[in-house]
Amino acid sequence: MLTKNKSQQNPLMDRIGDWNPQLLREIKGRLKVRNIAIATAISALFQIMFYFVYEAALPIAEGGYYSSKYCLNYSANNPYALCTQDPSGNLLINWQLWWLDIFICMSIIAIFVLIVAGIYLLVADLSKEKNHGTLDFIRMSPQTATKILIGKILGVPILVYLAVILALPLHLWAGLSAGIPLILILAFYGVVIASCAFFYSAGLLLGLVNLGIGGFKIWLGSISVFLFLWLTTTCLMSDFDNYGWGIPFDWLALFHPGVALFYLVDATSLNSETIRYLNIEYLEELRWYGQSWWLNPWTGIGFLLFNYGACTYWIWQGVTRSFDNPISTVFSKKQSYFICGMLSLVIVGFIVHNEGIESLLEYNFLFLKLLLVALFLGLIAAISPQRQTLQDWARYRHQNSNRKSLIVDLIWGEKSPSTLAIAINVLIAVIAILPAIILAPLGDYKTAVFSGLILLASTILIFASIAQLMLFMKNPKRAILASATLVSLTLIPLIVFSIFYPYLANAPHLFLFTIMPMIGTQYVTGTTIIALLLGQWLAIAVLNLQITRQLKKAGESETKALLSR
Amino acid sequence: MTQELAIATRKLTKQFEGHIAVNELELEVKIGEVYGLIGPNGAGKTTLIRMLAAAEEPTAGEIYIHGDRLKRDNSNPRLKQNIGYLPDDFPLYDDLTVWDYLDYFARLYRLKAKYRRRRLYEILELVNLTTKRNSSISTLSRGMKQRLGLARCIIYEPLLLLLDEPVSGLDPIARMEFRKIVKFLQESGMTILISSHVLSDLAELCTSVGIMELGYLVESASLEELYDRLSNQQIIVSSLGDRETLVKELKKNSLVKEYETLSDNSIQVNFSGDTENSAQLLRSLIEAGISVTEFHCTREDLETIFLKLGHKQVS
Repeated sequence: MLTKNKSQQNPLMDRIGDWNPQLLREIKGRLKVRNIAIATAISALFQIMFYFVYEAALPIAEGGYYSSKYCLNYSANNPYALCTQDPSGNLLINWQLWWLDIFICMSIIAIFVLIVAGIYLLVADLSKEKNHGTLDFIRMSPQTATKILIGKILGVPILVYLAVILALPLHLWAGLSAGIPLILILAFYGVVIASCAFFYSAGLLLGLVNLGIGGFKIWLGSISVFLFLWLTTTCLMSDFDNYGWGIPFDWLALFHPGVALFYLVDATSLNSETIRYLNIEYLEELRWYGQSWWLNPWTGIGFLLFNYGACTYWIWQGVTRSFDNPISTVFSKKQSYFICGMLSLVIVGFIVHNEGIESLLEYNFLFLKLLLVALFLGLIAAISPQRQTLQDWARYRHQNSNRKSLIVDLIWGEKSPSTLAIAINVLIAVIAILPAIILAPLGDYKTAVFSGLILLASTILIFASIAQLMLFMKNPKRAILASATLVSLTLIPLIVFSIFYPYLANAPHLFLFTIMPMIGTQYVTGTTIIALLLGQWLAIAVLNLQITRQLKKAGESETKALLSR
Repeated sequence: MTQELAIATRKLTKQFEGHIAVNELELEVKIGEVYGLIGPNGAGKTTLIRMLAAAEEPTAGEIYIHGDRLKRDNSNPRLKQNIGYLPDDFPLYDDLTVWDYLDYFARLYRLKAKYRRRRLYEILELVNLTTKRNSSISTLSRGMKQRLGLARCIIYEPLLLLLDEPVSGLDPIARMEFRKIVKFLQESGMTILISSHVLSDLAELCTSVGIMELGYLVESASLEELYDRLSNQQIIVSSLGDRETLVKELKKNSLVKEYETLSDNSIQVNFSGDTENSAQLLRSLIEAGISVTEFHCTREDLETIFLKLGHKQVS
């Protein structure tokens, strides 16, 4: 007689499987006794370690030396004052601050663990499934991409979730003991969950796209997200006056879920002088279209969630496209126009508030342009079709595209070259930024900022054309070569000019040839700028003629090859 | 017209770089057939099967499965549910048990709870893995893994099964077990397209055969038609007496085309007559006083036909 299987006896597992088969599969593959024991042990060990490290930081009455920031009478003006004692000789400890420190430290570590380890596991899992060919079987099933990938997000890092969940009671206890309202702690959890959704979607996208770098992409994902979190954490935990809110990079800092911790710290009854970090006053400098949205906890958290939500939505579009059809571009051209328009408007919002500070504004526009370059490098990668797709497009366009005119195909088509679409995106970005340049009190710098923007737009078009041309190379490493070329074109001139800046201070026009032409535009005449623009447009024309020539050749060569057989 | 066909392709083309792997291919497979796809390595068989399974996007052309247009996007999940595909390397998950693996795919294909359990046992029985159902996949032999891969693609009862080199690397017993399963599936009404280099297996299993070369389908016909058209009847005759006398007597029959000596008293004859003519030949030999010890009618097998067509089949 047949014996029953374990899987049939657990109604909860059965229900999970009915809702999401992928999640059940991940649970079955990962939640094994040995793995659970390891995750539990690591979580417990960390918590015990935490407790002892913080306990060791408490002042002790014996031994004579007992000044500490945890003394109730501690003041920044007199940090070495001895702790006061109660009549029975016990030190008076500021337990609220002690618990707050534990809470914040645990939060930061949990954010790192969740995001870095989660991304590592997801990228590794998807790359493995892709290389082994098992992803094809899942793709062929009637389940939607969304369902499968949600199952992956919930299931693949399940041991990380387990370790973090086991630390939640201590975390919650620490937060409540520090005097943080429960509702704010829960809101913080909401922000962390939203940030995980965002970063994990980005991780899935990285796992799905074909970069031609093999296993390195697993490390690329986790290392870059670690660096991002490390830099932003350093910024968040320090005095912002030194780093300066008010530049468009603020928007990037908003991707750190730790921003929500400002409100939690502020909600305690502790003095900001005593805490010495995450002072909410710093957020006053953070403005979007002139408004301090981030001063109030609820509008602030609302904006954080909205930011994560909107970005996750767009990344998810790319994820489902790449899942359903691995050879398609990450975004369609139509999606790229929306993304570019929205992102430009969002980023511009962060730079138009420093009224009256002309030089700072100029500085802001410079950073805005740097962000634009990064955005466009991403867009070029996301909407430029691969060599095979372009070859097929050139050869079979007349059969496949339902007699669409060439121009319509270049603007909207899935498989057509991306240069015209990038040009439209550049136009959208310029239109979005133009009102800001006109309205901002830039004074004498207005022309320089404007001409800098136009020169940058042309530079981006040159980049897009080079990328498209390189993606058409026969070399199998073309994607890597194209990325490396563009990154070098972006960074090397800047690095060279920065190193030799003392010698080049008298020759700022050299910056006209970098991605920061604005540094040079204020020192040169209009004629020089027009001459440079004409030169750039000539380069764009030559590059695109070359692309057209190669496409024509690709379209013809197959016919010729067939006839010669 | 496409309504009656399990598979119909229209000018199906796939191009990789400068190489056309599948070239304006027009394949038609009737419902309920076992269609064998043969051809040298690199002929485009795997690419064709991958396109039929929606694992690869065609460069141009159309695919119809049971009359419905197959597209790679998620626009027709019902159609996807009707296709089962087993690639030659049948990748599996080593971290799952046999039961969990099949249960996972049964759920992916939305099999209802009660039916799912019954179906899992049925399939495990069919592929002879019932005793292994709680074993980890990593502990299975190659043959077992191959049968588990097959179980995965039939658990949801697809109407069309696509098998790419399913018996490569299997020992004779595993191949025999596999043939038994395919025969069972055919009897249950499944249409099966199978590519293989083991032509003796195909000859035993298939109702129709297609030959691919350089991306073209150079031949596509029922096995019967192929034999009738291209296979010669051969008769092996052995006698106790003198070989010369036997040859002399055989030459008298006008239907004997050519002969080949197999051993001292055994000859293989290419015979163009039907069954009645061969009976007559036997009678004439006996009447001539030749002591016939063997008179065995055979037909040229699939491999010989294939080689005769001028293709370089690797067995």
